[in-house]
Amino acid sequence: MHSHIDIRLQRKREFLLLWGQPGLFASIIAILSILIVFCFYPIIRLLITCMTDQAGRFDLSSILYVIQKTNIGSALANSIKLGVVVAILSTVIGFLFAFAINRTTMRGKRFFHVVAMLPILSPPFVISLAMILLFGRSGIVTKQLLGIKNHNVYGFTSLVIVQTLAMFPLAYLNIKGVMESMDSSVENAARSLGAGRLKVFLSITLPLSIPAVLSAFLIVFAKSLSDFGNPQVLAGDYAVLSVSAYTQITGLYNIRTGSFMAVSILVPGMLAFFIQKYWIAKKSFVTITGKPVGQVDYIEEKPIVYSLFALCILLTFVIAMFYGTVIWVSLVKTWGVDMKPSLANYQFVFRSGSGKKSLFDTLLLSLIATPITAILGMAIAFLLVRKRFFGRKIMEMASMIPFAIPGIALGIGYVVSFNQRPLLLTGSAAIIVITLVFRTLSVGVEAGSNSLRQVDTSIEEASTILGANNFITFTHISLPIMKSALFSGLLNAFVRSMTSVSAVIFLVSVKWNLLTVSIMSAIESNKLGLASAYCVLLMGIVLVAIVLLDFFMNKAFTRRRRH
Amino acid sequence: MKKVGLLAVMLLSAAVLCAQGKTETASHARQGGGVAQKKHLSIYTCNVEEEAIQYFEEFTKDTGIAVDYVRLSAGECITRMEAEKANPQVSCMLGGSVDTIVSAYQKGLIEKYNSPMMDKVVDQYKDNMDGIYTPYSLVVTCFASNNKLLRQLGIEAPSSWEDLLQPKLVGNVCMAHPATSGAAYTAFSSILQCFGEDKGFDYLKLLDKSIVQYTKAGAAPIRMAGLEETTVAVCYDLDAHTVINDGYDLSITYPDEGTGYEISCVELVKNGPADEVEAAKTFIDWMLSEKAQRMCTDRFYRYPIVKGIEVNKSMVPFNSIKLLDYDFIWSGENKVRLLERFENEVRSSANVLKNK
Repeated sequence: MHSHIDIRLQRKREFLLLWGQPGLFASIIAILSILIVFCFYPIIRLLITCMTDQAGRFDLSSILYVIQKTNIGSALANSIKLGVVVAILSTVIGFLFAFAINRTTMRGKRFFHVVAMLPILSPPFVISLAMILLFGRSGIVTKQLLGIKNHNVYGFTSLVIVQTLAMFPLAYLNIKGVMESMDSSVENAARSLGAGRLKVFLSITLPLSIPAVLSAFLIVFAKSLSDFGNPQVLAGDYAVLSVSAYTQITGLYNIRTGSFMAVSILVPGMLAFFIQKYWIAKKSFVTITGKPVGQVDYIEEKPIVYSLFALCILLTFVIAMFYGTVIWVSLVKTWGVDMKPSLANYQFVFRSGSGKKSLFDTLLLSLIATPITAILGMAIAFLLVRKRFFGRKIMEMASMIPFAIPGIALGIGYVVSFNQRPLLLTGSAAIIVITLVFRTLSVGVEAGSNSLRQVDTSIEEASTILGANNFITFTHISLPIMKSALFSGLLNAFVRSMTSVSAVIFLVSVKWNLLTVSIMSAIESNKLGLASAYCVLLMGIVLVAIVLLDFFMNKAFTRRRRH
Repeated sequence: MKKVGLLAVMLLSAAVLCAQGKTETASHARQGGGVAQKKHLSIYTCNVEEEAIQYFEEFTKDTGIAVDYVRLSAGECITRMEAEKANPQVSCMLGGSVDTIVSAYQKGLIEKYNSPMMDKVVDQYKDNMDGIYTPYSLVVTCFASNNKLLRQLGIEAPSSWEDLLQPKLVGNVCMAHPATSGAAYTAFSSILQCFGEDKGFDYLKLLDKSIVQYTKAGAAPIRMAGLEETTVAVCYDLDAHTVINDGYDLSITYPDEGTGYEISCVELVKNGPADEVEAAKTFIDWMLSEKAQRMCTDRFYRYPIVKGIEVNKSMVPFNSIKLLDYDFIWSGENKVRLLERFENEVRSSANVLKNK
C-alpha cells in the first residue's frame, strides 16, 4: 500500500542520500539552476510579454485576439496532424534502417550509415528548394521526366516527404544507439529454443526497442511541430502554427500574438512528452547486465536481408537525388538559364569578406557549443536515469522546452530575457553558444537516457563498491556505455549548431554572424546557386567533422567492439 | 559527476562574465550627454546583403567610419529592435518602407532626425513627418512575366490589373502573401487604393483564381517566374531587374490603372549606442549623397530620390510609370483590418471553392 507517509519517507531518504554525496548534490543544483535560467525563464518572460501591454500593464487582449480572430485552431490541428504523420513515418524508416544495419548481414552497412546521416547535415530550406526544383511545375522529375503539367508541389504531401527525409535520421540515431547496446543473448536463447525470426523480433527485439522508438517518435514529433523552414517554403495553403506565428511577428509586427501562438506549440509537444514518459516509466528494459555478452546472431535469411537492402537502396537513391540537385545547382551559374558547370558561386563565397568571416564564426561557435552540449546532455541523462532526486521532472521537462518551441519564439525569449542586467548577454558570442547548446540539448539527453536504460545498475554499483566515486563511475562506466549516444549527441549538437536558423536570427550580432543568415539572404534575393554553394560547404565541413569524430571516438573507447 | 557539473557552471559563468565585460562600455557611454564619438557604426539592414555591403564599403572609404551589420528581413529587424528596446544594440537601420517605419516609430523604436541633405530630395517624397524617416530611393510594384511562357500561352505581357484576370492566366500569376511580405502588401494596398476598398476586394476575389500560390517570401514569386513555375509575378521592379540581370528571360510591365511603390528609408534607432549617434547621422546623410544615389540606381535598380540624378538606363523613365497617390499612413494604420478582411473574404471563400 502506498500511503502518504511512505512517499514522504522515500522523499526524506532521497534527500538524505543526496546530502551524503555533496558532489552529486552540487552538480544537481548547478544543472537545475542553469536549466531554469536558460530553458524556463525565457519562456516565462515571453509569456509575461504576451500578457502585458506596451506600458507593462496586465492585459489579455493579445491572447483573446489570437483565440478569437486568428486561425490558431486549424493551424494547431494541421501542425499536429503533420507532426504525427511525419513522426510515424520517420520512426518506422529509422527503425528499419537501424535494424538492417545492426541485426543483419546486409552489405554496405557503413555506407548506409553515412547516407542516413546526410539529411540532418543540411540547413533548412535547401531540401524544400530541391523539392520544388525536382517536383515543381517545371520540375526535373515532374515535367521533364514524367511530362506532368502544372503539378502542384505545395501542400501537405510535399511537407510530409521533406520533413520525413530531414527527420528520420534523428529517429535512426536514437534507435541505433539502443540496438547496439542491447544484449543479444536473450535473442540468441530464444533462437536456440526454436523461436522463428518473426517471433524473436515481435517478442524480444521490438519490445526491447520500445523506449527508443517512443523517444524517437517524440523527438521527431516535436521537431516537426517547431519546424519553420520547410513549411515556410512548401506549405502553400496548408497553414501550420510555426508559420502563422512567424507571420504575426514579422508581417504584422505583433510580438505578443505571435509569441503566444508559438508558445502554444508547447502544449501538444509537452503532452506527447508526458504520455511517453508515463509509458516508459511502467516498464524496465535492462539487457546489459555485466555478465558475458553473446555474439549477435545476424540475420542471414535472404528475403529479409534483401527487402531491407532494397529499402536502404531506395532511400539512398531519394537522398542522393535531393542532394545531387543541391550540388548541381551550386555548380552552375544560373539555374535554368546558364547550365554550364561553373565555380562562380564558390568563388563568390571565398571572395567576400563577410562570407569567410561568417564561415569562421559559425565553425568556431559550433565547436565551442558541441562538447558543452554533449557532456551536459550525457550528465543530465545520467542523473535522470540513475538518480532519484527532487526536481528530476523539472530537469527533464526543461531540457525539452528549447527543442520543442519554434526557434523564433526561443530567439525572442532570449533577447527579452538577456538584454538587461544582471544577465546582459545580447551582442556577445556567449548568447549564441548558449542558444545552440540548449536548442540541441534534448537530443543528447534522449539518446543518453535510452542507452542507459538498457544497462543494469549492477555494473555501476560494482564500480562504486570497489571504491570509485560518482565521477569515476560516470566517466569510466556510464560514458563508455553511452558511447553511441554520446557520438550521436556530439554529432547532432555540431550539425544543429552549424545549420540552425530561426533561433539565432535574433541573436546574431554585428560582431558575431552565422553562415545560415547569409544563406537566408541569398535565398531571399533568389541567388539559388549561391545559397546551394553555402549549403554544400556547410555539409562538407560537417561530413569531415563526422569522420574525425568517428575516428577519435573509436580511439577513446577502444574497449567497446564495433559491430 | 561533480567535476562535470562544475565545469559546465564555470564555462557558462565565464561566458556570462565575458559578455558583461564586453557590453559594459557601451551602456556606460549611453548615460552621458557629450559622449566621445567612435569611428564605428552598427547597423541592421533588410536590404539584400550584396547591396548593403557595397554601400558600407564605399561609406567607410569616404568617411573612415567602419560599419558592422546584421542582415535580416524587414519584419525581423523591427521585431529584434522591439525585443531589444531596453538596450538597443544598433544605432541605425538601413531599409524599410514608410509604413513599416511609422509603425516602428509608434512602438518607440525610432529617433527623429532631420538630415541637412533633405533639401535635395524631390519635394513630393520628402519626409513630412518631422524627421521620422529619411527616404533614399523608390521601388515600384510591377509585373514580371516569363517571355517563354507568354509565347506558349500566346499572349502579351499584362499591362493592367485587369489583364491579370484573363482566362489564360488562371493559375499563372504568383504574388506573395500580403501578411508575410512587404512587397506583396504594397501591391495589395495599391489594388485597394486604385479600385477603392470594396471594389478592390471584389477584384482580389477574381484575382484569387489566377493566383497559383501566395508565397511567404516577397522574393519568391519572381524566382518562380524565372524558373517557369509561374508566368507572371507581381513584385517590386528592383527584384525583377536583379533576376533579369542574372540571365532570366523576363519582361517588366507596369499596370496602366496606376501602381504602388515603396519609399525605402534609412532610420536612426532610438537609444542606440550613444558613441555612434554621429556616425549614424553621417551615414544617413551619406545615403543622400550623389555617390550613394548613383550606386542605388546604377548597381541596384532603384529610382533615386535626390533631384537631378540620372536613372539607370535599363530602367524605364520614372515619369512613364503611372503612380498612384499612394497613402502610406492609411496603408499602415489599416494593415491588420485589411489583412483580416483579405483572410475572411478572399482566402476563406477561395478555400471553400477549392475544396469542392
